[in-house]
Amino acid sequence: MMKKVAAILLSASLVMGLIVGCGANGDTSDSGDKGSDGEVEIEFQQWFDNEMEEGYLQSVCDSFYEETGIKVKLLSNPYADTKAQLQASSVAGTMADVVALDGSWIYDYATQGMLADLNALFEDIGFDTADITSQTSINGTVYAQPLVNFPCLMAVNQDLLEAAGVTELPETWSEFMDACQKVTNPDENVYGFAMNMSTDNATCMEYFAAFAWNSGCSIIGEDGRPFLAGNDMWIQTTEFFKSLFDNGVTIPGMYTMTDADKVQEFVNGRVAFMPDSVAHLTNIQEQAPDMNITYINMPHADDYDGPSYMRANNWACGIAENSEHKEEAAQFIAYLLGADVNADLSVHAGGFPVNATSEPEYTDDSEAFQAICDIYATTEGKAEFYSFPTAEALMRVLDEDLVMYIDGDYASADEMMEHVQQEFDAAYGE
Amino acid sequence: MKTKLSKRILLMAGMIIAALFSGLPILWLLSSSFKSNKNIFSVPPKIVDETFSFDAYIDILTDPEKVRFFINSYVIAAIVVAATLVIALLAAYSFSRFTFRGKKVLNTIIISVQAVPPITLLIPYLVLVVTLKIYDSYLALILTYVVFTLPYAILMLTGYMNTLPKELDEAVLIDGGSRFRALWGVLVPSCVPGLVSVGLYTFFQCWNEYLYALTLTKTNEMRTVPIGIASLMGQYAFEWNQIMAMSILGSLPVIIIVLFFQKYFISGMTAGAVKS
Amino acid sequence: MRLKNIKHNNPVKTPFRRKIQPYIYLSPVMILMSLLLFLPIILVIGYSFYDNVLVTPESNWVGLENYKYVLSDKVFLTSIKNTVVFVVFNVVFHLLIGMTLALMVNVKCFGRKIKAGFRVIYMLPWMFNATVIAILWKLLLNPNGVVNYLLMNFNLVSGPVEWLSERSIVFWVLTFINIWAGYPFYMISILAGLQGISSDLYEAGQIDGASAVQRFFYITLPQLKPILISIAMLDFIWTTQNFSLIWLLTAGGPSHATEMMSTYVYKTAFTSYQYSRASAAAVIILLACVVLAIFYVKNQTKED
Repeated sequence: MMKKVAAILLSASLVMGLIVGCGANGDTSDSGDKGSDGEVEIEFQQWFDNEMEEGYLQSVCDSFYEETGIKVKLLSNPYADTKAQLQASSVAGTMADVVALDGSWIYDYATQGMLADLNALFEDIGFDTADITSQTSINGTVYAQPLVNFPCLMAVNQDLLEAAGVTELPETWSEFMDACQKVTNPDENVYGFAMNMSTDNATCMEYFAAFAWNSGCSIIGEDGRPFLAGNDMWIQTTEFFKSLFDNGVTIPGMYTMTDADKVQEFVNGRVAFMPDSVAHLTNIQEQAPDMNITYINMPHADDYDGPSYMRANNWACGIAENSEHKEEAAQFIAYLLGADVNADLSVHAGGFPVNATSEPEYTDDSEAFQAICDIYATTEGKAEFYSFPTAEALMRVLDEDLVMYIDGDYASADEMMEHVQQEFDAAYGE
Repeated sequence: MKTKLSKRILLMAGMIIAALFSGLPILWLLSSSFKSNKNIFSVPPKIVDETFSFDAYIDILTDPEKVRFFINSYVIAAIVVAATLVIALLAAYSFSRFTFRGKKVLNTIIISVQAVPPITLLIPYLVLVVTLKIYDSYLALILTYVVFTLPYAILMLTGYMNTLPKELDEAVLIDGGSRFRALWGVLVPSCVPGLVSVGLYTFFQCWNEYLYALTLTKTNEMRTVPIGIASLMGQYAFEWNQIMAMSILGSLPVIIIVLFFQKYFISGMTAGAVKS
Repeated sequence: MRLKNIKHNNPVKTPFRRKIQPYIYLSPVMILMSLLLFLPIILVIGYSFYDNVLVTPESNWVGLENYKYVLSDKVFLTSIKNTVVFVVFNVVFHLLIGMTLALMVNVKCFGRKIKAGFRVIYMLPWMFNATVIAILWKLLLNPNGVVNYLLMNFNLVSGPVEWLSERSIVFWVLTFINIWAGYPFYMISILAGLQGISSDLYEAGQIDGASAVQRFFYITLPQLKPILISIAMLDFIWTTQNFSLIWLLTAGGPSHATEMMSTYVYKTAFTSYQYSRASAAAVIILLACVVLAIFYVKNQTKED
């Protein structure tokens, strides 16, 4: 009898041993954050690496190592994976030292105490931020440092416009609607307008808002809180957006279209206009080398003649509060912000530098990129949702209600925005 | 066992329709993997078009990082299948051949714990893994998958053993053999079809799991195939053909394994075991 | 019953050793599960009674507040309704398709190689993970995709159908895709079960003059019953938890048309950072499944 018991326990422990043995292998390959000769290694978790030329970001880290002796280990994942990892690791206290941050995450991570005060760290290492044009602060403290700016504009397939006899690029809503109607031809599978509306990434609502922003609308009230219901221009924008659907100029499948789906439709010549991050440009050019592309700012309300606004977006990063190498991490960010490094980074990313003294030498001389540069130089960026708590969740509510409004579940845009306003207010608790 | 010709034709027609139902989408997957990336959505859709090439496969097989994903997935899946089967067999034996205090309760617990959505367990689980200092290692993933596949394995094997006549192993005990021999010598061989299906299930669970594989590891050295496939989906562009090629490559060995194990289904070894 | 038999044959055994034996066989499972499953579950149950956890500096005990909130949240109620319908349709169709296919490839009138070939084809959908299945169906069901192309070519529809964003059909499209992706598991399990049925029973049935249909209802079904109940219940639990496929195809949208309990929990935890509410929702799902499990175990022990 004892033999049997022993045999069972033995086989069980054998299994456990097998498991543990393999685990040990896994552990030994993980070198930890101190090198053999006391070198510091910091981790940089981001999705930027996947968006740029292979090996480029690593080469930047290598030159940083040569200069400072600090190793940077890249933890590269696509955007969606980086997001999932950050969400989990922020709570478990395993955040990488330097983490990439999307605008919609910053408020929450900052208020949850996951991010370190950047300017304090910059001060500690003696980095002067005078030349840095943008920083993201929450309640007066800087938690995220943009590295490269990407405006989000409206990409235009000029071949389709030409074929439809549209000669002028639209500036107002009416002109835009007119152009879309001329282009739309369901028999040929061509439509005027495509925008991602899938709630897998609800930040797409910033594109929607850009129609309003460029018409002088602000959705931040005087108390710093969301101002949606009773906001005239906002309601008008909503009605205009619905009319795009009512007039049949939107591409089928928009409600669950993702960012990548949208670009795919554009590249395949099925849509004339799409609001999009200019970071896509290189990719679009690669996939549709013969397409005649340009960019315009989002159309504005017909009677608006004030200053122009666009949706601002950027690659930003922050330093984890749980990091044991905050100063080294700050040194690394400061290095990325240096005039030359930042210029070079912008060129490779296809965006714009945040260091005012950077002089990027772009090799892209296409009409599309020129148009982007012109708009960027004269237009102010906005990203108003990002100052609200749980920004993405709020945008999702907006997205869902917008779909219902377009489908006719709400009697009016006012009624719909009343409901969205309630949900937004609820995010402030009390 | 002669079946009428008309019946056979009808049956064959049914089998072909069913094959189209399950096979056509996969055929499209296969066909997409041979196309160039920009032709994936071209109209009219073609099964084979002028861009037919093995480029996507070559790109993946020559990228050491992606090959590593495959190795990781197989190593982890193989260990998990072995561990789950052994542990589950012991438990199933206990549930199937003994009556004991707390059996019902334990059974209920084992079945119902898997009802918690894994997403909600993610955070406390991650904290636990970090505390155990197995974060970013094979062990973290192996333990996770063993634990998550055990309830099913136990349930299934218990069910399977219950269908085997008790005289089968009791004969060994009566002849003075040990319980251990009854289990390994008689029950296990008779359980093969059950073991195969549980093993396959376990394998697929490990092979496909995404959320935990993503959050319990952080370096590429520990990553598995689903993460590798996801990494082909950038923020801005999908490498459609490579995604398709990578999933085909991932499934190919499985299909071969399945072909091999079919024999076990067919031989129907349980049928004659009692008689002899 | 059988234990008594053994007692007669093994008189040397002390009652204590015999009593402890089953627990020894169970010990590896219990050790692993208590550490890695029970502990996190207990934590989640604990979370559900606080105002919020993990992301706040302090947590306050609020009793059942989170449950009240979740159960009065329209979106959660919608997600329950959707999940139940989704799960029921999946389980029923998985069972029907799985059983039909298993019986078809188990007949004796075709060559082994032919049957083996069909078996592998039928199993194909199971061999690809949720990410790939989602991408594949997105590709097929794209408004400009193959499915619409074929339907329009044969004049079955007049214009492109928005399979994944038309609110009235998207739920059923998703259900269909999940049925497609999940039935092979049933087929294999049932097939394994069919192989385990003693051919004596069929021979006896044949001698008694039972028709094929009668043999199916009086021999096959009763013999398969334990397996069928097990897999149906497991499928129930797994489908309830299904997340990846839904998230990648529709993310619960448009406007909650495909909102399931799993997507609700995910959104609550990871974009609203309401871990306590998410935990409460999770505990509700857990309770529902525990009730089911108890019912199952009762049913199972009755048969012994």
